[in-house]
Amino acid sequence: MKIFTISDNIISPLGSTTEANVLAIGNGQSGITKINNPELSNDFFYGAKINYDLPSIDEYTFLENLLINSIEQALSSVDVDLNRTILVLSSTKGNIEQLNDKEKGKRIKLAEMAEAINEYFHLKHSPIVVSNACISGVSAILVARNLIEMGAYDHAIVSGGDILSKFTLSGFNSLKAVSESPCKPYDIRRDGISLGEGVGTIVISNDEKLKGDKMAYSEIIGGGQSNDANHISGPSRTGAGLNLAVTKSFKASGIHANQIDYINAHGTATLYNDEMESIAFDDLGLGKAPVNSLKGYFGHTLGAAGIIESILTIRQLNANQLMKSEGFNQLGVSRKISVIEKTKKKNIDIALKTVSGFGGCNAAIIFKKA
Amino acid sequence: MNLGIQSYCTFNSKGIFKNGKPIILNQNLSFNDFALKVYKQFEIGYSKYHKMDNLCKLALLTSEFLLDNGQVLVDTPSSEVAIILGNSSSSIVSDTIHQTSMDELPSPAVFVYTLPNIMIGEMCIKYKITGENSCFQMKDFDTSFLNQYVSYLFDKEKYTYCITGWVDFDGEDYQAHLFLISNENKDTISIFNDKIKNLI
Repeated sequence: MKIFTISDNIISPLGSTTEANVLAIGNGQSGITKINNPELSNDFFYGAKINYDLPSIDEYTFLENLLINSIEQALSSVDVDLNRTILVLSSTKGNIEQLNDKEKGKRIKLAEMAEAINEYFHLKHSPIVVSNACISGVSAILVARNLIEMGAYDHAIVSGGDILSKFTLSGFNSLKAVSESPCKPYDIRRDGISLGEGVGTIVISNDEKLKGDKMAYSEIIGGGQSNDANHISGPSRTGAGLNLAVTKSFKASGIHANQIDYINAHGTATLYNDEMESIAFDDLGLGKAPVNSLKGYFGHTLGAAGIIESILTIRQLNANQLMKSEGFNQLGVSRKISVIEKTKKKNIDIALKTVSGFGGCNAAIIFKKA
Repeated sequence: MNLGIQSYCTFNSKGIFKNGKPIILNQNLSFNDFALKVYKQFEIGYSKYHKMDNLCKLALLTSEFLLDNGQVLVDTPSSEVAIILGNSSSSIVSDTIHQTSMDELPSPAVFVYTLPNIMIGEMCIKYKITGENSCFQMKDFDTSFLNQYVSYLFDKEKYTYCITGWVDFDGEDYQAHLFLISNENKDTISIFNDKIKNLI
């Protein structure tokens, strides 16, 4: 069975449509700014925060309103039978800011949040929620694809989001993992992540006639997930786990490393993550494939990252245009990888998207021009 | 493919039960006291255990009995084992601790446990498991979804074993029900397609 991506939406500091995000990146804009906000941190920090208003409904939280807006937009360009559609949500912390609430917080449990969104769209089937740390977004797309392949549904709305909260910011600060400037993936001067907030939605289907926006269209030809079995918060030193996930995705798609035209990597800009990825890509024979990280534009959006970055992987594929890896100047990883230094044209037929996260998990997904 | 439940293990406030039979009963001890008693009495001897939060301790101790301290998996390549779990309260135990300390001195040792899939990561490290691992957030233990998803994984990715089930710790109540699903029907206790729930 062939499974396609047919429609999408991104809401980020760079804009509330995918097109606005693509345009801003093309203009060299980044969503990461210096933020002075005592509700988030006593000191200033660099992060990517949405600072414009969107239509919102009072009874829903900020994150739920973002998800509703995003799903509404993604559904507006395709005509899917909602009776045959499943909602798959990905998030790491959901409505975590509600834990702060003196009264009982609203829908702190991710399953409750998903049900509220599901009810808003009058979907018949119970939603599925994936919470696999930083790989959640790609996991959710792969789970949705599996559910369609199993024959349980024909279409899936895959939506992921996380907000910039004091909870995550203070935590990553305690790990000394936050960069003192906008993050610089793969660069020699990289010193950690920038956190971001955003939501991404991708609609997938087994019906290729349902193509919405042709720039959102691709075939998902394979994927794979793995665990490092090494450390809960540090990336593996060998890249073996990421290597396994990518190898599984090659096997599932029936392709070889030399067929990969472009890699959208995780590239968080921590010393160890980027180094680990360089080892895995080099070992896989992918050292010459052009690679970028989009974290320099969005920061790390946690549960949304895998979806937002998959959408932009597909957009680059269809535009035959590679985006500059924002924040990169000079290679600062031990293995030779081909980081994209400036936006350029290139024919892309097959693209690989990878993610790695806390808990030692890794995921890879392969998109093909369709 | 003939999938079977090779073993199953439950850990709740009443104690620990394997394949329906009690291993140790809990006489009204708190989780912390009971878990420590179990750890000592059964000589778990795993130093990483002591830094884990309660959700991970619950998942790990239940796995120890499910897998006979990991012996069951010794001859299986690490990439041929998957872990697919359901959970409702996410990492609320560590979330609450981090939340109360984040204005002053948040602890990195607490923060790294504020994700529900960390328990799967701990299981992967202890038993050298490198296959697919996913944590699904559910209102209740959705056995039919897990049954369907795990069966599909075996079929598609040719796993030898999958550990599936439910591990939840909401601050007061806790429940773990883990199942070792095998693609061989030797030692099979029950056919996987039978409702898992009947075994709980």
